Amino acid sequence: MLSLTTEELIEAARSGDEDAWRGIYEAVAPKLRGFAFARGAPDPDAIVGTTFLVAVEKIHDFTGDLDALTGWMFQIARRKIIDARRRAAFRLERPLSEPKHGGAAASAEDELFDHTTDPALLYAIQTLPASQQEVVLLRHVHDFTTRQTAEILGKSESNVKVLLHRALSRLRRNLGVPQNDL
Amino acid sequence: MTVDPLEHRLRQLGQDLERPVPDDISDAHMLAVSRAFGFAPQRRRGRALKVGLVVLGVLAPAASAAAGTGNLPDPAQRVAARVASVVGVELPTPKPKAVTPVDSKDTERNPSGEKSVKPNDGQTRPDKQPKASPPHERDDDDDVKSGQGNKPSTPPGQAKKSDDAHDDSATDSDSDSDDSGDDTPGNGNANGKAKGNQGSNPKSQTKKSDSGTPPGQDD
Repeated sequence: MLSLTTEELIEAARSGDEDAWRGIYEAVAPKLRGFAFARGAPDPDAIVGTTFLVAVEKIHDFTGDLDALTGWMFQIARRKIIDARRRAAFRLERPLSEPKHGGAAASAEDELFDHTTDPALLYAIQTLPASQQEVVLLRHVHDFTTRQTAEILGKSESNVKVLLHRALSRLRRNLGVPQNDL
Repeated sequence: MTVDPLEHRLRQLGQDLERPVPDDISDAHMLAVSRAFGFAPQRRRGRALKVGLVVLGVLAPAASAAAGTGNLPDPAQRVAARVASVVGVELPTPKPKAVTPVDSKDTERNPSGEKSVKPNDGQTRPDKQPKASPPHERDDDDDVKSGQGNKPSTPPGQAKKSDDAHDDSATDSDSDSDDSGDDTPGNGNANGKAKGNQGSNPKSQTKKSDSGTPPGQDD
């Protein structure tokens, strides 16, 4: 699959080529999983799975390169995460020690948390308002441009910049990092 | 340019989080993806097939029932009757072209002759006598061949049986004009014998009055 251009890869994916989908999965799924975990989704693996199923269903409507495809799949994942969090909010609160969704979800969270070298930063991000969380994660953790971030979130670029500024200020304050002068 | 320590920590966090998905989970996801791709079109095809079968299952008995009772439109009824006759099943056949000329005459006269039609219609209803259609068809044919003159078969001079027969044949077209407002021959034939009696008298009478001396009497 590496020999294919991104256009060919996406075209192959459209025609149902399994190898193409595996290539896309290997490139995009880890990012989606990390994003879902950092956003506090109850079951990051389920988010990845459902995101890919939606992508398979709607790939014929998609146009663009691999970067655009990644952004598009983040868009789908973001909605799935919001849905999952909303659903989880209706459930009875359980003690933190109990697994929320059974073995698989607990293991995904444990595995990602175990490999996080900066749990304090992760915790600080998760205490931010949702829109600021998303902007920080997309812009600085997953390295999307301001424009891509704006497209994924459905906001204007200036709105994204404002949200990012506020989020970074709050993170610095919470983590005790000295504020940057503009 | 110094790197912002917070941004550096955030990038580091990104690398920590972007870990490859475990094999068992990625295999399950890929299986779901391939299934979604492989089965989706088949499911649609299966659905279309099911819908087609259901439609066929509903339409076929309905069409055969309509053919059996003679309720199909004329051409369809004719075809159905022909096909059924090959198999040895008798279906009511629509009365052939014979009715059309009569009806066309009726339609011409309708504007002037309506008044006479309605009262007669009421009188004839009680006389409904379901009879075998083939002889009536013949009568109709005869009527048409000989023209308008054959219609005055109702006159008292003739025997009752023959009257009835003529009445039956003529009424088909009249009953149609009364019931549906159209002189379409197909309906009259398809609706069977009982209806046929209803309008027989009116036609013959109106025709008598219109044409003056009907050729039938000349016979």
